[in-house]
Amino acid sequence: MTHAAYVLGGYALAASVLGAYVTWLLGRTRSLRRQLDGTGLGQHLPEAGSGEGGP
Amino acid sequence: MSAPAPALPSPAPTRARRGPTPIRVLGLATVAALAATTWLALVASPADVNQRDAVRLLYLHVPTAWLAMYLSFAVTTLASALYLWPRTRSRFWDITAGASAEIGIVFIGLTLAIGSIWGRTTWGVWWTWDARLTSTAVLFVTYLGYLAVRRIPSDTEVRSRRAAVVALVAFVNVPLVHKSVEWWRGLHQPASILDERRLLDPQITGLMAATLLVAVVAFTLLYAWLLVHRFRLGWLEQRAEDEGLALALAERRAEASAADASPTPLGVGPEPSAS
Repeated sequence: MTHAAYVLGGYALAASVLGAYVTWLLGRTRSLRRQLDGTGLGQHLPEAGSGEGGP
Repeated sequence: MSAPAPALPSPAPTRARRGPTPIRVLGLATVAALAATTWLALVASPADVNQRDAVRLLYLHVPTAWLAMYLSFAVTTLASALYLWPRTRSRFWDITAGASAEIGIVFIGLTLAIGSIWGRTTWGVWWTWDARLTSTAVLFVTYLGYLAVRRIPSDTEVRSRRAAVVALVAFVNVPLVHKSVEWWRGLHQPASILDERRLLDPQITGLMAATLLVAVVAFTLLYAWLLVHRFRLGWLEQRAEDEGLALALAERRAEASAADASPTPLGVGPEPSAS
């Protein structure tokens, strides 16, 4: 294999792992929010810098 | 135990789904920076005299290591220390520590994998028990253990405190990984940039240095975006756990009340009081 193939393989691996993680993260957030929507807890999420839930 | 965040009035549904504007701007900036990194790394920057095209893996390997070791695990350690400090103890810091560690694990795994590919092209082997590689692998396993500790079923406060202590201990390995290339000289090259002796005389210049800088900025933005989203998920998980616990307690109380109120079948049970 040429160096270019290894390089492309490395970039493809990074993109795949990152894509899978982001997909899981957003999907799990969405499903958990749906689950909590029934209780009213999932309606509001803390925002960065809002201080909510913070010290 | 810290009081759970109060349920505040709901924002508009569309905003809730897409996130607030600063986070969206951060997301767009991250995508743009990652696209610029990819173009610079794969197209614009020159090949190396010795390593040829394999040097392009540098623009992934170094930023992922930076993100994981020097950013994610440092934030986990800081947040854990703030959680342990009684004056700043808050669930916010516990969730931040867990979120940052998980992101760090993803990226330290990528650092190892991409380093392995790079090693195959430059050293001829996928893996060698070099001090840097070995200590990084130990770091990866250590933080996996940290995440496992966070999942041990227990009281929330006990679990958080236990995890915070483990995080402080786990971070001891980070300076060891950083210094491993100097203390035990192996195959892995010494630090090109994060070395006090080379800060004024960097081993990388021109477009290669610029590409690396853009890549580090892009991965830093990516870390910030991921941390915000992972924190939100952690916050929801905590609320779901609290809600589940509250429901279970309510069910148990209801069962106990029903058992007290209803007559015992077949006359078996405590005798009624004589009075």
